[in-house]
Amino acid sequence: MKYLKMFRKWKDVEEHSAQTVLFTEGTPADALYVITSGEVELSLRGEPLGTEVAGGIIGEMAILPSAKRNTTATALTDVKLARLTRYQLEMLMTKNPDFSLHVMAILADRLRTVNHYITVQFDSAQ
Amino acid sequence: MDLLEVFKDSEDLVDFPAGSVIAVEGAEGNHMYVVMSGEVNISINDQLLATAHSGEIVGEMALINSNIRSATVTAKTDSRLALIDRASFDSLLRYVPDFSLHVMKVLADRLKHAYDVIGH
Repeated sequence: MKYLKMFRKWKDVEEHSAQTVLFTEGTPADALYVITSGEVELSLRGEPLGTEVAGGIIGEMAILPSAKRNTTATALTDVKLARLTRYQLEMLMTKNPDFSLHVMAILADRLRTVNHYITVQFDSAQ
Repeated sequence: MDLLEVFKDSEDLVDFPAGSVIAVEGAEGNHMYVVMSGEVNISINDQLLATAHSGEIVGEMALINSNIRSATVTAKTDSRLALIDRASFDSLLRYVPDFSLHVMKVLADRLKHAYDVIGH
């Protein structure tokens, strides 16, 4: 991901060791994170939904005003995260159309994953 | 962003009578749509996920990272839709940042809704 360089120089960064819970389902989504190194597992009600690696975005519900976290994120390895507020994300997207496409592609992929999860749930419920 | 205002003079307006199928899950798609009037249903695997009203977009998933329809869209009422093809979509994203932000929020909103469906 060509934006990694930019986010590795980002001022607002967090470092967490493996097994740290980064955020929890149901808590306020105040910021989103770009993973600059390490791996993060997203889970939904205790079930793993997928793994995000460097370049991936987690906590994207922060795009919406007063949203809550819909997943729980846990560091699988030691991780470094660049923290972005909604305003910072909007500024980056406004200035950088390629970055907009990147964010949208990530959201679309996650939506496909969750839609697939819904389909499987309904199928097994029937 | 008021998409009704932006697309009111579009040359690509298509009418869909109530009950007609606009997009089929799993099929290839090369357009997204702005609902100019009427209401359309979005469903996956025969499960109704949401209804889109005038001013809202549908079908955008097939233009982002894949050309496969992620949901089926049917006209709930007689509906008029403005078509946005891939080239127009790309140039809107490139030159109209408000449009990008709008699409991003729609995706985030759909994601939130999908999680809500799982939660109930």
